[in-house]
Amino acid sequence: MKTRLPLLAIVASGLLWGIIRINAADKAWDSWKLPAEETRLKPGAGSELVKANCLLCHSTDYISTQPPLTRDQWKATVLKMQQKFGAPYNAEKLDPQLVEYLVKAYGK
Amino acid sequence: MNTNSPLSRRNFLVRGAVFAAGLPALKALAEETVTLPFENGERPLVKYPQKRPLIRLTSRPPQLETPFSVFNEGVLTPNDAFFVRYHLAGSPPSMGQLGAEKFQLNIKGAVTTPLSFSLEELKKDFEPVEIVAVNQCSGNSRGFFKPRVQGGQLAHGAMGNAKWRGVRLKDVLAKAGLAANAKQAVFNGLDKPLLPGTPDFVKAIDIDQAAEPDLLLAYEMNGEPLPWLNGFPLRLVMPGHYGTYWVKHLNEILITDDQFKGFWMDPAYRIPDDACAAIEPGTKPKHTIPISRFNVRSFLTSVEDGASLKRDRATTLRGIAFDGGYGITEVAVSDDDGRTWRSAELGKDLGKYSFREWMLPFKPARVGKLALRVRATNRLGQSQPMEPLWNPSGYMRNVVESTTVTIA
Repeated sequence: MKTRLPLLAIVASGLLWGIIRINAADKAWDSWKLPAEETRLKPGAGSELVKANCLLCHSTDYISTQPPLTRDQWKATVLKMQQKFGAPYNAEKLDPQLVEYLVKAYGK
Repeated sequence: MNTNSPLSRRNFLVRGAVFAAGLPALKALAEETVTLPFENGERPLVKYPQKRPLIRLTSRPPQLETPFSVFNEGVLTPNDAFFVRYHLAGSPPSMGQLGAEKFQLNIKGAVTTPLSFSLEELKKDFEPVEIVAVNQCSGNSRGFFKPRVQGGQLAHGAMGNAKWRGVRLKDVLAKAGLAANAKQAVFNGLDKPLLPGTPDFVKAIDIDQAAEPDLLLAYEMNGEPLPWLNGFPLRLVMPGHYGTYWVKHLNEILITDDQFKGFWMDPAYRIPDDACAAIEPGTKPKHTIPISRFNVRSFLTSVEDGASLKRDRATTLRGIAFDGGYGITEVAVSDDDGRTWRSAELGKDLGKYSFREWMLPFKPARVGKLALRVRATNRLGQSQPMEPLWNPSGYMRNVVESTTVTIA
């Protein structure tokens, strides 16, 4: 008896420790987070239109990592986001201000 | 021309004042950036869960590229360095949503018996299979296209080679029983769009393709459960085919009795319908087909672009080659702009879908600048062009890559 009790206690605490560790590991999985996203935009008139209309679905690096695009390419992209990806805006109303900004900041 | 080494310049942008003040490093005080060798190629190196710092293309949804030096570490790409590519705003699903204990894979549509499997049931009910296979993004190396095209501006790091473990898709489909009129298998994962108007990421293949033995429903990658950002807990593995088909967080297989028409099959992920998937730069293709198998590619990994080598000093050039699953039979290297080629020794064969390592002794005889070109050939005799091919989506680059070194 004398020796069994500490042994039991060790086994029990070992089990408990294991359970806590497994739970802790599960908890860690649950709390995995992605690092902060890129939000920088080049300053300029119209940048607020990007914030209001584009950033619901994607971060700013979707725009800023593109090679310099022509006016026609930016115009087509803004339209594609509405027609193919369901962006809830009216591309014709946003253009020319939004396209103007994109061409100035990220165009050629 | 620099094509093999995205890490052409390293910046350590330390926020000096804070650093100098000696504050404890509780937050990231330094942001390392790399500059990929094309215009507007500056990218941050960012650490994600289960990942080492990777080249971040976009943050929401996340797209991460493997630093090219990783491909010289070994033939298998470590999980923590494997590239990440998502399409939809609601990606990745949280680990809470994916929890392995509540996860179910549903097989439905034109089948005798619609079925649902937990991860444990999949593992228990079917024979496990392992296969080493390259996964490569359709737009890998898009940043090198001339003229440039829109899309993810990647260098060569949207590829990786892993040992995938899972069960055969055909075994699982056989258990459900295909209806006589089954036409396509349609794959959907738990990553979802945010807006009702955004097309869900769904991919389809013909039913005879789905019956091929090499397609896996994979739950392990290099001996570990799939990383969160690579499709935990289950993904389709379609060896020899572009990553667009390797649907992550896979929870639904729908068997259809007609041709599936979804945005991500048409108009997205399509290539010009000709032998080389290429057209005159700046033009539009007349007919397109869904992208499918990899073409042949090869890379020098042991020498970075711009490196210096010593004249008369013997060294071993090393790299990787792969194709769409026929198997690499030859890799050759030229140091004289393609006039003469020397065959490299091929490393261990890990299977026809794997990176194949190659080695070649090299002793530069003359000082000056030198371009090292590498070209692979597969079992069908398919190889790589000396001049790059072009298509408007920036897919399937497979030109003979060139690494410039200085011999001193």
